Amino acid sequence: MNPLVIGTIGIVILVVIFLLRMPVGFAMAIVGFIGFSFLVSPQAGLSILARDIFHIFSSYALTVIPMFVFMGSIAAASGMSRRLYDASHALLGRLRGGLAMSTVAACASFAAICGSTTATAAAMGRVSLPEMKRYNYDDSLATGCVAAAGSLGILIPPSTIFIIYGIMTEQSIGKLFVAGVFPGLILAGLFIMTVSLICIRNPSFAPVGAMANWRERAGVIVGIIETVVLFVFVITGLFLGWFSPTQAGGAGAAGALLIGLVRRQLNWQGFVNAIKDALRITCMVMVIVAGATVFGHFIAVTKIPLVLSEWVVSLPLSPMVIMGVIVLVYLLGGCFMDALALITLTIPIVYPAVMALGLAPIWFGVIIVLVTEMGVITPPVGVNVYVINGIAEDVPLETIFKGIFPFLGALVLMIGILLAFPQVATFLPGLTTR
Amino acid sequence: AKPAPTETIKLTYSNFFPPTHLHSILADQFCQEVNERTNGRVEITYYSGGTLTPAPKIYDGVVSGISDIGMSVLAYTMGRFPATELVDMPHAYPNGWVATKVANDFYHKFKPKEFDDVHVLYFHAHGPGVVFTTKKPVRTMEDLKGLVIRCTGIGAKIMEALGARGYGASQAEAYELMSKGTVDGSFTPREVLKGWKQAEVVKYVTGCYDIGYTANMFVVMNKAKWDSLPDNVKEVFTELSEEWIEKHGKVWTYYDRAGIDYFLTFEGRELIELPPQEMARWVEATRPLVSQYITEKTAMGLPAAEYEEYLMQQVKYWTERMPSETSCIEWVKKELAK
Amino acid sequence: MRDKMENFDKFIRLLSNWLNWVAGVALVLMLVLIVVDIIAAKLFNWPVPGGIEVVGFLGVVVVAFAVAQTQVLHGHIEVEFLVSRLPAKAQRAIAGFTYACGMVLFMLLGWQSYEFGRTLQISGEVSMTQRIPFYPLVYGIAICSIVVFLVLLVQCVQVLGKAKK
Ligand code: NA
Ligand code: NA
Repeated sequence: MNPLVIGTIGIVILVVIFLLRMPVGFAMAIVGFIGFSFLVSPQAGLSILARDIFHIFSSYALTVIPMFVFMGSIAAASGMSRRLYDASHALLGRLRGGLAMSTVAACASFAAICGSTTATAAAMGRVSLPEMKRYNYDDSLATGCVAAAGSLGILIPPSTIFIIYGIMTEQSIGKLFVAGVFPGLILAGLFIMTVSLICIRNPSFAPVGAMANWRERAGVIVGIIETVVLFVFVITGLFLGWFSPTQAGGAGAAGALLIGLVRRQLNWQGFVNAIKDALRITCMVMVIVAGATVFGHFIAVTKIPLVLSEWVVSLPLSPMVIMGVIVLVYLLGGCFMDALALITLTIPIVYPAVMALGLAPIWFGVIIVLVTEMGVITPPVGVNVYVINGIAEDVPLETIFKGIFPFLGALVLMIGILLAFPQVATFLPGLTTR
Repeated sequence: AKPAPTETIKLTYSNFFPPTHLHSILADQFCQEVNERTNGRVEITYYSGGTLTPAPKIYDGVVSGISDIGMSVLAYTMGRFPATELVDMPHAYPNGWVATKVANDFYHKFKPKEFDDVHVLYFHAHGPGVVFTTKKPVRTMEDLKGLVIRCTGIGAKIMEALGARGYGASQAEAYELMSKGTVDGSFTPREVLKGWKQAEVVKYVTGCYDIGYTANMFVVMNKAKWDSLPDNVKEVFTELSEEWIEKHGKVWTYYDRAGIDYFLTFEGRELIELPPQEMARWVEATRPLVSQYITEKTAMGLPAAEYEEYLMQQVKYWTERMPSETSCIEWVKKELAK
Repeated sequence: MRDKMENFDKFIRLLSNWLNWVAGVALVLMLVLIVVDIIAAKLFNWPVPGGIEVVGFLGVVVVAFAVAQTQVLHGHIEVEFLVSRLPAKAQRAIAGFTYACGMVLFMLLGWQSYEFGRTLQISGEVSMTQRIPFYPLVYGIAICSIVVFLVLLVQCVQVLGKAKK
């Protein structure tokens, strides 16, 4: 049978068993393994199962997830994140949706130290979701804004996607990083505006707090000084290159532990609970990442990405229409496979065609990253949404997908802005000399 | 002889080099050439950039049948190739062409049994490793003291012998590690300045060619798959492998020049050449590595001293016959430039 | 029979909990190693040799040994909205099917991880810079997979058992 047909059948089966309440990570591993066995050989399918899973579990780059999640768990157990959100609320409480807006801003700063969307969503979600819940924020708003803002991890540098794109297309990674900054900030701004619009339409989604007086404000600010110092230390350390991302997570977790102990707000039971909590979230995220890897290898051998991109570049259409189709194809691809693999498979075909259309390479890189960001929050393989779902256990998946919807609108608008005004991405790298 | 079956033979090839890298383009051409010379009997689906199996899993992937053919670095699966490890050690390889020739000779001379679980097509190996630094120029061995240098495999041992601290990380991570200052530099071939864009963050390159280590790379095929191939197809593979050794060698030589040329287009970059007395000190400091290898492997029952003697002899032999850098560059520009 | 099943269920829960403790110890060790590495590297210019490799290996223990307990807690993400609207009987049938699929997956994973571990052990493959043999970790994944298989088995029997009542 034609690999394309088998690939399509595989995707359909995956969607069906998702709907049958099969754990998402297991489902991707099963379909990926069976499909790979079918296309290559049963022996190869069995081999890839064990090897992919070991490879993902033992990846140093991914240990950033347990460390930052652990930091979040300790910060929650020792009351640090609670105080942080109390302070945010005292300062921004009058602003409708203020906490969701500060969460977006926090995700954007975290994105500046972490190159992965999954890690950004997991780390920030662990801290922010229980707190927004405490202030009676609507579930769809709270989860939607973290899942979406978590995707800033690959647009605001550093970004694993930009590094791969730069190497494959022989573009300056430095310039790509710089090009991501301005669209990243605009997109964070658009997300904040989206929060504000949602709150205007549904005032009940984000209750407004009472006006805090100056004394109260001063009080809460004093309460968060050491937390702010810790965060500043961790982020500065990353910027100045004292730490790798994993080390920053470790330093943050150790710092949170220390603060909890000194303040006598973290006891043995709290520490044990923080460990259990971190284990559960880490395990849930990594099982999904491993499953997505097995499934991605199956999709790779179906040649679907290759055939699709060859088809697109052969279309007799105007450059902007082709760009539109490319965006759609990547969006579709992002629905079913991991971004990094998708880009490695398709860029060699799509990129020369895009260059032949006379479009700017750096700008195209930014577009690709934006589309990839949409991929991590769209069903059925929307890794960020699953991660958030695992953290906010009582929120059903469809509520999160519903919550994502307006933010997808913001992403589409951002892509539109970039298509209309390429300068948004290119003016900054133009200023820098290599 | 029985009549040839008409059905096509379908194979897969997994490579870790990114698709735009010349070694990936060469591998792709290898697949097409096999197809052509077997009159379409053999079709190879080629996967680059580790999309089918990631770099450290490619060898094992071939053994277990995930892909039929694979190209990756021997040092990514340390311990699996105890005899061939020696090829990576400092032997003053002047360029990648010589290292490539020597790596293939070594295999054909000794046929180490560590490759018994696959069929070897050929090897290729990069040009001499040099020291990159981002802030501090390295002019003497003392300058290396205390620096944290990214490296892998034998590079880690060399750096330790020279007084630096090794930091094990893959080439894909090197850019970010150096740009953030997590490491002070990298110990690696010049090629990556261009091939992996590291010239953007590297300020100083210290050539230390007399210790010139390399990283040997394999191209191997699944054994059962190989055994199932008809003889005339096997012949095509063997013949092409022989031709491709030469091509990879030239590409490596080309890349080392291209890396430096690209590096020097940036402002404020410096290429440091060690004076002979200083170079001699580095050679002296790293000499124990090979003697340690000989002691260890002799204890394992391998004729390690004989290996070393043969290697030294082949380095000398091929160095006297190597093509000029210019001719390699011209060949690449003519044959491989788009 | 029911008693036996309950005892078996208790035993499997206990086992999952123990494995989870192993994962917890690995998580704390990972934190300690990272902190020691930072201090040693920044203050004494002496990063822990192989620190990165060992952190990656601890990552295997953190994740693999927590999978069973996460399954006991139903912590793996599922898409619920369709099934939760079906009648109870259909829900049980579907659950039985998905548990069976999960069991097959982890049985195969256990078997293949054992095979992979043996390959690594026999070929003598070690880590890239510090030459640490890491095949025991792969055997670890094999053992954890079998425990996950047993957890799924118990959960499957329980779901189908409810139907008979
Ligand atoms: Na980032
Ligand atoms: Na998606």
